[in-house]
Amino acid sequence: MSQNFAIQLENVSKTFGRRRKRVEAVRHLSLEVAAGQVFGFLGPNGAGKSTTIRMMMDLIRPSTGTVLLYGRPVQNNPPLLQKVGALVEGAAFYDFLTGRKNLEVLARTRGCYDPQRGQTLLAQVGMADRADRKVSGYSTGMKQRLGLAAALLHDPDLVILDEPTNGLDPAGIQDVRLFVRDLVEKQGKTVFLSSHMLSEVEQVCDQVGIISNGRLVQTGNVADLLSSQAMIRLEVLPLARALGLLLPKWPTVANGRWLEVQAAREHVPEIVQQLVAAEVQIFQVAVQQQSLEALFLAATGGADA
Amino acid sequence: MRNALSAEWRKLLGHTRAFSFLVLIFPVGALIITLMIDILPGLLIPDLREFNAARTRTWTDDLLMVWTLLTGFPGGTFLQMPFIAFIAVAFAGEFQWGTWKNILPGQSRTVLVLAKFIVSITLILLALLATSLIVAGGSWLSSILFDSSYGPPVAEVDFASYLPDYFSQILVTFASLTISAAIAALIALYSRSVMAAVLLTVGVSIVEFASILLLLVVSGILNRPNLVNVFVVTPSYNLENIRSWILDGVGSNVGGIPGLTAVQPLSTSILIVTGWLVGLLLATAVLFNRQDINS
Ligand SMILES: Nc1ncnc2c1ncn2[C@@H]1O[C@H](COP(=O)(O)OP(=O)(O)OP(=O)(O)O)[C@@H](O)[C@H]1O
Ligand SMILES: [Mg+2]
Repeated sequence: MSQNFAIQLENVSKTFGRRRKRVEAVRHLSLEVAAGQVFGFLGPNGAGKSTTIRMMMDLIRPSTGTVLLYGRPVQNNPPLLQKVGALVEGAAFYDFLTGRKNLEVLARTRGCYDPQRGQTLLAQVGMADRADRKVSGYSTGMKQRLGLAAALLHDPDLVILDEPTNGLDPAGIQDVRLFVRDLVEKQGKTVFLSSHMLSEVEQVCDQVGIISNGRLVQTGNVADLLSSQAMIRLEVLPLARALGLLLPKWPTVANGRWLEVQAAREHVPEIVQQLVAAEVQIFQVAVQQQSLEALFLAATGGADA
Repeated sequence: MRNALSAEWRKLLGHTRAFSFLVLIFPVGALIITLMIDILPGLLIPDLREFNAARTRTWTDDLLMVWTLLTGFPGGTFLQMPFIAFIAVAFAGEFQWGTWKNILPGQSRTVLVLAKFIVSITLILLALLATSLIVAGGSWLSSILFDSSYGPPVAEVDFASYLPDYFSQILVTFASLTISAAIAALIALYSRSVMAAVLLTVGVSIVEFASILLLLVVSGILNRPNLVNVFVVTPSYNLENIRSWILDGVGSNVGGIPGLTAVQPLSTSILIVTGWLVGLLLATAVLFNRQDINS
């Protein structure tokens, strides 16, 4: 039992529908998230982020595999989920109640009603002066802010946020960023954050996992991931021969007079050697560190994912 | 459980539109009817004054009226519709609002289902109690205003027969309501739609009661008169039977339906009704525990 993992997914799959309507939303996903950090869960629309998060909250049951939180299976385990707070796929509330009353009802359901804490959280998410209006009059961003407060009502150890910055203005996005870092650094919580915004993940996350088509395609430390994959640009002649040489080993494309090779920095000497041995002329070699964006597009198969 | 109950109580009372139109409509309706049809016209129109003065009403009947109206077919089924709709809102509403995802984690689904059920049934019961008091209170006011009699004097009431009468009627109405409510809850969770839950529950109630006709036809065709006795497993029959035992001291054969010979003892009927209620609630909890919450 590894108590230092906040989240462990063991070969988790989820299939919706039957026969021709069958959708494999999540496929054989295995993932471990250590406690005390911000984990970014990155993927394009429809990749399976929300489905995975719903399985973590025991809202939907995996078709195969197990979700463990703090080393224990989450299924049919409400006391375990008392340690978790979540904002799942767009905040939704009782329209007919005020923001404050919504928080009260949620807190009472969990048995942790404390008006003072509610007020503090409302202030933290910038909703204190609008808390006594009915939610039916809230904008998307206001609901999202209230959703953040709701996720923290019972002071959970693990906070799961599904695209928390959806619908927020730039100031709101900045607030969430600071808020999330604060949760981890000052309050010792663990945050699992899904997003399709790379800049967001790059700025707040310690670790990142990239999901595409229901599969986990990359995981690792954000800094390491960024340095491990580089884009090597080579001005060579003849282009076609060079391309034929490199393509079997590295993803390579020709771009004008340049070849663009996706490879780790350590591979540069090998690449150059191969080209020289094949009597390809090399005029320039440039190594560019990749942005997370490029990494993401490469990992998820680009725009057609 | 206590937490879930207090949360549910605040939530359902906070849904002022559903609560007013589907629950308060009974006491408020009774108040309006009493004022507009009984008291005000009596005050304004002299002829009606005499008519009112000549009426003899009894609080013993008035207190029972709303409860008797709510059972029976088909009137009871239609009068129960607002309550069924309220239950449907309580259960299917959470899908429509997308709010299950907020309350499910950290709380047992079975507890949440029971809490919703208990709170909504309690609110309905309180509204009905208020309604019966308003009806009696209105008659009393009218008897003072118009100088009519409003009997019987408390000293003359045979409480030994009135109280069982009163409570058995309330009990039967209550049992009938909880069974409709349990059907509504089950369908609401299954269909995830308020509208579907209301329509289907009313449909099921009608079919359930009308099953006696179907049984009569089928038993006639097959020439198996005994088949009619299947009717004694339905909630309708057993509720009617319980009332008949308590009020008349004999079991009910539903107005002498041909072939209906398997009249049940009181204890069996109570057992069957309880069985339906527990079974329906259990089915609701089992269904909900297996459901994927996608909204
Ligand atoms: N209830 C459902 N029934 C059928 N298919 C579903 C259901 N829920 C999700 N899916 C499918 O599963 C896949 C993953 O959906 P999911 O909502 O997890 O994606 P996501 O990564 O959260 O996307 P987004 O960034 O748009 O929020 C999609 O193809 C979606 O159509
Ligand atoms: Mg999503």
